[in-house]
Amino acid sequence: MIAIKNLTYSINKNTLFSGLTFEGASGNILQILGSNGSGKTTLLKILSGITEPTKGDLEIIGSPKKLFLGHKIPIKDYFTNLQNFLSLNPDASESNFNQYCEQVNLSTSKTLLSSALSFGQKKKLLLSKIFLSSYDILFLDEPFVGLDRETIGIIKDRILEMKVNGTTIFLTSHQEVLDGDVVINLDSGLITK
Amino acid sequence: MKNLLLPLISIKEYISLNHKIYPYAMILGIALVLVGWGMGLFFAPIDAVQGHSYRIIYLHVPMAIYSQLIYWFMAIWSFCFLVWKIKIGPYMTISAAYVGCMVTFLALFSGSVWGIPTWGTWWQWDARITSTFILLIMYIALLTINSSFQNINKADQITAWVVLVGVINIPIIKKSVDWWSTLHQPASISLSSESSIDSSMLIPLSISIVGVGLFLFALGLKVSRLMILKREEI
Amino acid sequence: MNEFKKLFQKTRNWLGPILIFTMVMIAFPLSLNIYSSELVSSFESILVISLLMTAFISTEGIFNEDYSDGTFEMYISEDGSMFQLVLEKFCANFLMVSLPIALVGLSFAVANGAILENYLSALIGIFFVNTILTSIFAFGSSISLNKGAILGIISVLPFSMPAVILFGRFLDNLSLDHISLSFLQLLAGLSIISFLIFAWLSSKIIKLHLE
Repeated sequence: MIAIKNLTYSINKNTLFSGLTFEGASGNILQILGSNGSGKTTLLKILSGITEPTKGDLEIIGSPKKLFLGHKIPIKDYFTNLQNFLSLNPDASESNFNQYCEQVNLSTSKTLLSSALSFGQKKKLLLSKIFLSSYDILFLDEPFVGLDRETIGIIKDRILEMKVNGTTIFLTSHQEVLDGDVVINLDSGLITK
Repeated sequence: MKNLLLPLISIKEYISLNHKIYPYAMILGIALVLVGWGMGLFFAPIDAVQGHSYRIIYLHVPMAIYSQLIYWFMAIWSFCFLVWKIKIGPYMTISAAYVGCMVTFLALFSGSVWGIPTWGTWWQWDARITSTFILLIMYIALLTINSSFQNINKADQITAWVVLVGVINIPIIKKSVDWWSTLHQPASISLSSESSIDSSMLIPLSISIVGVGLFLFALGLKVSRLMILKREEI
Repeated sequence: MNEFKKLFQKTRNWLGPILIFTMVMIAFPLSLNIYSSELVSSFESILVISLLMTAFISTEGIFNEDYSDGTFEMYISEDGSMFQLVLEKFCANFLMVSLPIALVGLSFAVANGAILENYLSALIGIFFVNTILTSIFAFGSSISLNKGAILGIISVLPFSMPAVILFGRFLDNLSLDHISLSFLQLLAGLSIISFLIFAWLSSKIIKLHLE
């Protein structure tokens, strides 16, 4: 579904990674490991088409539905929770919001401004995107940071569910929550299956 | 043919070519400038209207010509860089911007100096002065943009885009400024009234135009070489 | 539609420029003698300058928020067209800032007895010029995204000068009642062209910034 050949990225003279070659088949979880500053986020951005690689090929077959969720949270403080929810999920309705809040234990009112939410709550609201629609390829940058144990479990279940449905999932994480089918270690440049 | 085009693609080739050309361009340029200015300052006759002060044209005219030409040069390289991703494109663009900034400033400055005896004022919001002034701001803007990004590749691309938009802007500025000043009272002394220059003045002028061109070219070669040495590992 | 909502919620970003414009319009006659003939003659340049200022203020942070909170990244990853998003932002800005400013500008012009045989063409003219200036400054703000406004101002200064000159001509002709339909057409054409070109360029440059 997504194939990478000899991918290299460098900023100025500093090479972050070079010669990466791997494939992400549908229904695979690809875990990207590496120390701070090893280029995990950059790799995700390249794969999702936001950043251009310095060298190498990135081939995506067909036109899959993609989503990149970075560590920044695109929740607007001046919108109410419901407004934010609806602008994240344009096809959703108000009942979806209530349902989702129950599902992930998000205890807040729909008319409240999102500036009142904590970091974890904002993240929960953002992750509604992966609950309400399905994607062919998903890029998650540290999806479990700032969430409580219970929610991590719920998200993990959802990711596994999507995997079964054939979604290719790219993941960076410091926490050992999920085992990847393919592990890409940016420090050593090793790709293990 | 392939050998000729190689320096455009490979930075190593460009540097070696640069090394070869640079001394000739520099020496020939300085020599021609000295000859042109020597002839202009000591042998050309005095201007009937302006006296000795006209002799600044040997500096002013070349600078004014190149201030525009250099921008077109930059635009061509920016285009090549954006379309074909030619590696030396940004180096040519930025080094030309440094030279162009200096040249445009000198054109304005020498014009001001010339303006004091002839027009009685060092600055007038005349069409040509205004458009040259805006050109100077453009050079400064490009250099500022290029130097304000950490990621060099990003900086180069953004600069190239702005250079290309600027190309569209140059004729617009010219047109609009002409429009603006022609509706006001015309400049009190017009340059076009003495458009027929005597050959005794024209020859040193053309020599100095060629000489200054070569000198600026050599300067650009030097700046681009310094930039490449700073940025690339060769 | 979403961009309209976003701009509407951020009161400071649309009401601010309108209020600043109004403030300049009120402050300027107060600083002159009321019987002075300067009132009429200097009104035009005050109008131009305050339009420049407000165009700059209203676009200064037009992309900053979506850039820093990751909205752009998410949007691009979903194969959204950046050009379209920027167009929406521009349109929201025109309707919520440029149009009110054109109205306020016109009413002060009438109050100062400055111009105007033809109110409608004055309104249209101010709106179009504001559109051009806003597009130009929005382009500057995309260049200087998270780098500070100075860079943006310097880089778009050369582009805004022709627009200012054009507007000056327009006001001159307006006060002499020489305004013709073709002049308005010229303004309209230029504003549409600059709107599209600068929106496209801004989207290009934002994409570069995201890398």
